[in-house]
Amino acid sequence: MQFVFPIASGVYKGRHIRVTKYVKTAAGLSIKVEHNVPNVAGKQHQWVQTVSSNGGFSVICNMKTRVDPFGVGGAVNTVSLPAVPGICKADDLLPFYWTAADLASGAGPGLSDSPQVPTPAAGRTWTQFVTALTEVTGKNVLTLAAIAWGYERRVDGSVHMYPIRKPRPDEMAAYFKALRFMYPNFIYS
Amino acid sequence: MTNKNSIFVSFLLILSLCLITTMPTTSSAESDPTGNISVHIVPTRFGATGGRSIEVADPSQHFYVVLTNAGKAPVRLWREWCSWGYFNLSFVTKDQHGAIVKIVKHERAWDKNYPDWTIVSSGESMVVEVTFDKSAWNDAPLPEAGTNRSMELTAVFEIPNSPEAKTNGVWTGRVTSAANTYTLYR
Repeated sequence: MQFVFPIASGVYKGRHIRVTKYVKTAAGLSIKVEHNVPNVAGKQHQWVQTVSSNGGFSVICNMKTRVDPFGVGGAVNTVSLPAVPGICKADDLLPFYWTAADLASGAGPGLSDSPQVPTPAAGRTWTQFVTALTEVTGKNVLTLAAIAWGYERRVDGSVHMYPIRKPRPDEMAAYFKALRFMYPNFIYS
Repeated sequence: MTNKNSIFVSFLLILSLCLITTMPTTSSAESDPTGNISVHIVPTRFGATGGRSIEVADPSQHFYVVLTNAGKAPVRLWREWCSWGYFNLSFVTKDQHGAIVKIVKHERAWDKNYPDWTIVSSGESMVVEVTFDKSAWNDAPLPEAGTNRSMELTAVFEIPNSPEAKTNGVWTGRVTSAANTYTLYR
């Protein structure tokens, strides 16, 4: 399985994002991703993650692909997005995985996530993520490198991990579509 | 370097290592994983004649459970939103016939999830809002709408041992509140 994903072009060509942990848990999986892109004055490097599923918040929010987090209940689902009214909420008004409060409390600079779902009553619940490192300059969000990963939970409770890979063009299209729909006051490329 | 100097440098190195190994780490200085936590249910009101009342007419009406650090050192507790903290609080009810029911939360999904803790300093508290919303709780002891129901209610707060608790210096253990009688109004 590939764990290092180089930045293909631009000033950071040759730098990469690297998956340092990818393991199954009782109800999902756990991932950690790091990068070696240097800090540059006037720019921020932020993780952006979209999630698609046939269950969970994709069903509740009626959105197959969402910018993560976006759902119902808990402190990560408390902020209403002007562009997406309804019961589902985000953790802040920015499209990034870590909030400013997360970062101030010690989260980052890598990304860590341990998604999980309950055992489905029938069939399987699949969840597919696209995780990207972006460079943010003002309102411009430039995606530097991305990975696709995920898992499914089956009716017997078992967890099956999907391989980590480069996202397909249709997955990147869904990623950009979700960002532009949910956080339209940023410019994505 | 002379032999005398070399012995002196070695002495300094050994002394430094001794000082480093005996200094408290940041983690242990900031938290006590075995600290003294107490848990209390705060009723909506406590009347001279009506006793302790909890009003839960709809999911937006809630009551509070207060976790207080009664120890001398700060403790770390999981925040409720993450999977490590979500199931820490549960309840036990006992009705007038002596039937005991354990009230725990439903399993749920997380897309964003990481072990997230907060520091509770000595004498300070963490407050958990509880609605007994049936979408979150199994066997929520809600009376029928427009009625009330009295029961003995105990809050149970438990953080089990886990690799993440150990890594993050999070308090682990189990504490229960006093078992008082509450009347739930809906």
